[in-house]
Amino acid sequence: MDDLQVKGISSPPLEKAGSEKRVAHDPVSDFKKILSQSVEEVNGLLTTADHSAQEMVAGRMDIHQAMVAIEQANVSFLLLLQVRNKMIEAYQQIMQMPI
Amino acid sequence: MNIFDSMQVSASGLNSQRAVIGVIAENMANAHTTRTEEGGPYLRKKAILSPSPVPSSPSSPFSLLLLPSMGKEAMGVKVTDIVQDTNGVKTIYDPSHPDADETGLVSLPNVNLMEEMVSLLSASRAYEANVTAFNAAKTMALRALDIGKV
Repeated sequence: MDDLQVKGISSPPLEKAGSEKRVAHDPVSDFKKILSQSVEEVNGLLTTADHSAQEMVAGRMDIHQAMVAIEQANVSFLLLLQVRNKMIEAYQQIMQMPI
Repeated sequence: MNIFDSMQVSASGLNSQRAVIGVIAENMANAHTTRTEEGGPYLRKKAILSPSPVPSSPSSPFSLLLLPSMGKEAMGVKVTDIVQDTNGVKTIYDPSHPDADETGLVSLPNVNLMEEMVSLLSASRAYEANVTAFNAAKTMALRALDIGKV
C-alpha cells in the first residue's frame, strides 16, 4: 500500500498537547525577512555599481569591471521589480474579489 | 553556481586578458630596447594564467570551506606570474652602437613583432569571447524573468 501514498508530503508529527513551539515558524515574518533582505542586497549592488562608475571615471578601475558591476545591479534590480510586480498583481486580484 | 557566479567567471577572464594585452603591449613597446636596469637587452615577457576561485555570492565561512572541497566552486582565471623568456636574444655587429661590447656586438631584444601580433589577436579574441559569455549569462537571466509573462 506504500506506493499509493503521495510522496514528498510527510504526515506532520503529532503535536503533544500543550506544546508551544509553533510560534517559531511564522511564514509572514519569514517572507518579510526574505524580502527586506533581498531589497537590502539589491540596494548594496546598486551602491557598488554607482561606486564603481565613480572609480572608473577616476581611473582607478577598468571599464569592464565597472560594466560587470553595473550589469549585475541591473539584472538583480529587474528581478526585484518582477517580485514587486507579482505582489501588486496578487494584491489587486484580492481587491477585485466580489464581496 | 548561480548566474552571478558565471558573470564573475567572465569578469575574471576579462581581467586576465586585459593583463595579457598589457604585457604584449609592453613587449611591443620595448621591441628595440637594448639597455635595461638589470643590464642587457629587454627580454620578452609572458603572462602565465591559472584557474582561481572567484568570490561567490554565498560567502558564509562554512560554504567557503565546503564548496571548494566538493569541487562545486566557480573557477575563474587569474594571472599568477609574468615570466621572462631568455631564449633567442639576437646579436648584431655594430661597433658604433653605445651598448656594443668590446667585440662590437650588440644584443637585441628577443621580441618578435609578428609573434606578438598573433598573441595580441588571440588575447583580443579571448576578451571578446568572455564578453559574449557574460552577455549570454545576462540574456539567460533576463529570459528567466520573462517566464510567466503573457
